[in-house]
Amino acid sequence: MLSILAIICLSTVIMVAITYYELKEELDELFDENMVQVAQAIAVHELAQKTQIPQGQGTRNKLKGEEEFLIQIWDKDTLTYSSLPALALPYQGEGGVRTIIHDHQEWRYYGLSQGDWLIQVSQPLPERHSVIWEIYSEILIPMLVQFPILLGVIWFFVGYGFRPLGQISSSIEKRSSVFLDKLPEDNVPQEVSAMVGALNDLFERLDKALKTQRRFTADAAHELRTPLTAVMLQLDILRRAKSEEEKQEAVKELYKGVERSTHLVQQLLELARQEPDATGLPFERCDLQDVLEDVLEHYKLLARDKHITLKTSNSKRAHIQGDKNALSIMIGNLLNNAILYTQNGGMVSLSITAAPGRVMLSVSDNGPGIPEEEIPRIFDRFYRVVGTKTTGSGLGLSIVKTIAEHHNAAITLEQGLEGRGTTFKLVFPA
Amino acid sequence: MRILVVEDDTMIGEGLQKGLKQSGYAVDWVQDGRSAALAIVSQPYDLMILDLGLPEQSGMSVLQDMRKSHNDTPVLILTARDGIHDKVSGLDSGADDYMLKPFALEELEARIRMITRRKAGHAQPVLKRGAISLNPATHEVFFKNAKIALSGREFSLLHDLMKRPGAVLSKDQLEESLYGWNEEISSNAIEVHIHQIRKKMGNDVIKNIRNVGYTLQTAEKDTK
Repeated sequence: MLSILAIICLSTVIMVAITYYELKEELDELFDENMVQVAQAIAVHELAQKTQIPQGQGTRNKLKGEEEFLIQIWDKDTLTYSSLPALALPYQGEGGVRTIIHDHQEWRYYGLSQGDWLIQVSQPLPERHSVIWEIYSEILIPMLVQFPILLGVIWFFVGYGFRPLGQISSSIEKRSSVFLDKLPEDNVPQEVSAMVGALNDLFERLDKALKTQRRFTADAAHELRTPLTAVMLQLDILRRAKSEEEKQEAVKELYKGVERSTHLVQQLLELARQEPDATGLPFERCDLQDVLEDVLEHYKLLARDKHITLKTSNSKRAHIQGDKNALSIMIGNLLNNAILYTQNGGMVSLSITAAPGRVMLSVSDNGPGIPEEEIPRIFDRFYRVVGTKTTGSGLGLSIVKTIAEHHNAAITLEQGLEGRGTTFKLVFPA
Repeated sequence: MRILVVEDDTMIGEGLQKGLKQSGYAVDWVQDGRSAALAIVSQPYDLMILDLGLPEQSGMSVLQDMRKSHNDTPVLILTARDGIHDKVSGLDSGADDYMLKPFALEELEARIRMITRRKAGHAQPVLKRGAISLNPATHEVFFKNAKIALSGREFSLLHDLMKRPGAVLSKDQLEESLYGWNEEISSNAIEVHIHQIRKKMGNDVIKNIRNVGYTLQTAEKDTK
């Protein structure tokens, strides 16, 4: 605001100065030209006719303001005529328009010679400048009057125009991580409404992200308490156990509880690592078939324990762009779920098929399947299907979903093997 | 004393059942809200230990439904939800106590005893009837100032009879109070326990009222 006013003041001063010099120059030129014309007119009309020029009268020693010139006609070095004899300007000789000093005063002078004759036209500069000042002041006064008015008007309009911005910035200042309400969008001038809209959009996304994060932290804290509770309980039971058998049992349960906590913590870390904004490894070209075979090695033992048949359809190479480590975690989680939730002696099948532009991976089982009404929630963090007897963190499928989204892969659920169970199908862009 | 544990987590549910049984309580355990609502109407319980985050029906709604249908069974909420709001709305919905996970079994049992005392309408931690005094916290029983060693179930049976003066409890009531679901119970289990108590404290301690049940012989003159 102040800088705007300073600029206005400065430019006004410059303008006033420029106007003065321009005006002075123009008027000087005009008067000089007048002097030359007067001299020429005398030379042509008076001298040509050789008429007797009446001598100037009176004892006036001052010209009548700017419109009068002192005209002298010299014959050789004798003054034959002077329009104002009282003003005894000496012989100056021929020459263009120039400034001379006479009687401690600056004069503008022009001399035109015609044979022996010399016509001298001159004017004291102060006379001339007084008229310049007169004209100049006529221009300057309106300018000086208009200046404060202009200043006031600008001050008002700039303030008025910037007020919404001031209001917006003060309401933005009030926003914090816990207060991300939208800015009011009514009464906002058109110029800033797009910005307010964009800001509101940003606030909304930020708020959503923060809420998700906060809920996740709360959920995680809640979930971490559960295995801890189990561990504490088993410790109490162990302490009170009377028989060796009871003690053994409690210790076994204690291990299970600790394992469960460890698993939960690992899954939480994994989920955090796979978050879209986490700095992951850059994607590389990887063969999904290779990844799958690596993962399979890890789960063969678990499958054998449950007498589950692991089938893999023999497929060709299927290359996609991705993070190998993340992909193997994702396939591992799906395989782990399939084996864990399928009854002893069941079957789990993995297959990869490549089509132009896409690669499909499916993990199928002939287990009990997922009830229809539970399907929308199975990818939610910490959600566990009602009545599930197996212990788990409830994060496995959330991790699968996060990794799939990171790879732009679509997940769909279909019926599994032999008309029962579940198939998780992932479609990757190749 | 019979307790209904409502807890969806298998490890915690099993642990609670085992731990409370060690202390002589009969414990039934259900894993979801709907089963809890069913159990509470099919059988009288001395206490319900209720988790809030339950499948099918939330713990809070189970509690509210219970109180609406005038079921006054004491309820202890045992949950990981530590928000003030959860605590306040749990207690205001009719819970008798609110405990946070993780917890120490000892504290849980102390709170169970407190709720039981309050329900019976007295504040003294040691129950006294005639020459018998029973301390639920330490599981100690004194008869004529001599310490009597009782088994867990014997202790629970005596405790039940002592809770309300002059109460007559049937054999069925005692069985229900002493044994949870799926627990082996022989047809003469109660008679055996009563026989054991009488053997340790004298025949006159428990009176048999034919076709009704058992009651405590409290009057001083009877034992003198």
